[in-house]
Amino acid sequence: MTVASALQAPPEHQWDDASVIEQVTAIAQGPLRAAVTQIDHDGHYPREIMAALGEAGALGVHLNRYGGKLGLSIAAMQAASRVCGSTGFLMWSHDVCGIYLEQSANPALTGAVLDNHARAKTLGGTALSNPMKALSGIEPMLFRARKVPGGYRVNGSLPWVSHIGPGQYCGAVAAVERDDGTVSHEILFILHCDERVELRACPQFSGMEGTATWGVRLVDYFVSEADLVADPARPLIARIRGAFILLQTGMALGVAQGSIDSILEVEPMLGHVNQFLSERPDELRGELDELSGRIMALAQTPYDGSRDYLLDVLDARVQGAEFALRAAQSALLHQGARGYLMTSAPQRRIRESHFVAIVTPAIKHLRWEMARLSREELPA
Amino acid sequence: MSAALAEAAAAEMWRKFLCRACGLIYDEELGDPDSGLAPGTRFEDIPDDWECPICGVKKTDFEPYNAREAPPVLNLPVLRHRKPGVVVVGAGVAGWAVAEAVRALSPSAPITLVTGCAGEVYNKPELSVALARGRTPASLCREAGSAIAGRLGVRLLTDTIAVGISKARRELRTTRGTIAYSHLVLAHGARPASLPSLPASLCWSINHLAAWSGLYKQLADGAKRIAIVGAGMVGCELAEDFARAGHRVTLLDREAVPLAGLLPEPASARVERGLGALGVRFVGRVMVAGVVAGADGGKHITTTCGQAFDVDIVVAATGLVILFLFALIMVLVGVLMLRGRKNAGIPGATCNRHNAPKVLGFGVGTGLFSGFFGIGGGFLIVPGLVGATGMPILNAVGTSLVAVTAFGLTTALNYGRSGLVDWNLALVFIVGGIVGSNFGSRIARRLAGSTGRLTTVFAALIFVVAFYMIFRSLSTLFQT
Repeated sequence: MTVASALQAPPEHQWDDASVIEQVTAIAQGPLRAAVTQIDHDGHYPREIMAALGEAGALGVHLNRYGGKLGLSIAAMQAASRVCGSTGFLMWSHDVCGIYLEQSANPALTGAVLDNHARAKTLGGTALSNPMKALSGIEPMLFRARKVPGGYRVNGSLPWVSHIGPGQYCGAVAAVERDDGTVSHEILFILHCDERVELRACPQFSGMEGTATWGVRLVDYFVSEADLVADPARPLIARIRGAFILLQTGMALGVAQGSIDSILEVEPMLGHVNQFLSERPDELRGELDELSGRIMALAQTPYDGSRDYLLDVLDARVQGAEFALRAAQSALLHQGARGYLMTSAPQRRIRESHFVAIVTPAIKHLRWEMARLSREELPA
Repeated sequence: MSAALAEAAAAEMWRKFLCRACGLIYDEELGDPDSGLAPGTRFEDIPDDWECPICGVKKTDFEPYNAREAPPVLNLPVLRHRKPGVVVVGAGVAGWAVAEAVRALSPSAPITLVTGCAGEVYNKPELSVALARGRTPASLCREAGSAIAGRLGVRLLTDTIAVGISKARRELRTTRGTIAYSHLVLAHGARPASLPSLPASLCWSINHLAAWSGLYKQLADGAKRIAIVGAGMVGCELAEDFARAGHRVTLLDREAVPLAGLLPEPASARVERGLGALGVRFVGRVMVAGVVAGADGGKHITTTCGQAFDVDIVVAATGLVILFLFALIMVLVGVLMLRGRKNAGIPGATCNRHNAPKVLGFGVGTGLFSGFFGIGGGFLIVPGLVGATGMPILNAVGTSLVAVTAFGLTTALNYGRSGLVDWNLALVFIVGGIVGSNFGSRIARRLAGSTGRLTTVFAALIFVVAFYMIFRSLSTLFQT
């Protein structure tokens, strides 16, 4: 990418691969491990952890500006998710928001704005769950825009958007309506959660409570050209779709790896009976290695737009979700009553793995999309 | 009107509204008593500041709820298997034949068949001769997928794409879930080679019943102008079939004559004359540069040499991707033969109780391949026999010839009966063939005297054919 290479950050601002993983592991096993119950039970939104991860490079290395190391970014997300799935999800939200900013090629969104985002000096997420489903033909688009001088006016409500809050921002999509109400195209823009935006508390979910998830309501919200990521949005979304979905596998790998940790933790006391369970740690370990090998290979070419590549990404994402579900379930069975305690990691990971399986794109959406991509086109 | 009647009349008109954000349904009949909307509150009577009880969006984010049409309930003959069994991918003749054979061997083995289509049984070669014979999609379908699945006790997953294999866990990943297998059979067949110059949205590829049925519908209302791109076996057959059915056919190919790679010059010329007599216009030495939709619903074809054709329908008969794979399999077979060539073989090798399943397996495999590709049977029978029994290669060559003759005779008789054989041409071929094969068998006997030499020659020949096929299929794929 010529544009990207021209925008490469100078070498002194690049992160070193080994130190990124080393620092992320230290953060995950130290302050994050200490905060995980607070995050899961009290809904604590770990800004301080995100800031530390940003400083360590975990939230910037996937950007072309910092070397485009998607595999490293996934490995960092895995290291955090191994301890706390909610934090892994925040990292993913932050990562894809960074991709929107960088891929916009909008001078107002790249440069300092992007650098601050990459280092998590500012925090922002993504509101693309509904648009991704809408563009696949699964549900209608909820934000509607009308062209006005200098930009667009947007109306509508989204039920749950994560990693936002007053003073933060997220990438969002609106369908642009013509005067007669029909849709001409879509825009992707940065939505600033300022006084113009109504944030509503969401009903309580069974997990992922510390992810700063709000309902968003827009009434005649003005989007200026400075905040436009893509107009029309579809070409950009098609371009980043592979990276968007592949990054999520970091959560799946982390939840699965944390589950293996939990199994091994009780092996000295319970190994003599646990040997009668299926999905033993060595099997899970083998599967983890195989899957993460495939994911790392796919991460070499995140912007390969071919149909076969996208199918492989969707397949790996489904497999990751199924694997996380099985591993979390196995960890609970291995730990028995210990794992059933409300504060135990295995029961939390059950809920985290459910989230990995249903967050957009959910297993069913991924399969719907794979079937759609595989269908042979016939002339009309 | 009595109160009860009025209530009944109103009840018929209770409407439902769907929250676009979270999926909650507001039912006028039930209201939302928790936020003060009594049962029977009409949607238009809901105050504007009312919020969705789940996600908090306003009334304006609700839309009238019309239930989507539910997907058809698959009439599955058997329940999901509790134990992994045989999983077959593909519901072509090969896939169903495997299911049938496994069921014959074991009445209780769990069998799952995964297919991207509806699983109906039909004879694929018939698609290129069906129109002139007055066949319809319904008459081509010999048995519905659900019927044969019920008969064989097979769990049939239709409209399901196989997307990956987890080898260590012995699982097949599909778009309808992950399926454990004890044995996996891939019989998923070929995909038409997609060429950018022949966009799938405008050009038909007749590779399965669904595509043929679609084309059949378009050909139903009167004579059409049809261009067929590619004058190989399928292209020529389709051209003849469409012409016999009364359509105006133009047949395009990059070679000078039809069936150029397959027949000697004089035979190709005969084919061209034969097609011409049916009204097929053959245009050789052209390469299609592109196809675009015309204003009248027609298609406009341009060639690299600047010619243009306007037709109603374009059919791409430019070959299948799988030929390339087949060539790769042949390379592999050649390598395996070379590796084992020091082994002189067991002269007394026969088919016995121990190796019968293996021989049968190789036989089914070879038959599947040669039947599927229409070529290459002989090239696979010899290594197949050597692999299954360990017999010396010379004996394998002899045995394979007897087998080929038997298969060939049956097929030939069928073709003869249907009047599809050009006897003069066949005679010339046969005379030439007798002379050639006499020399061939003498050379083979002499080479077989020294261990491994015949194997080397055979493997070399396989390589030559394989690389030729790779070259052909690649040049088809990259012709633009």
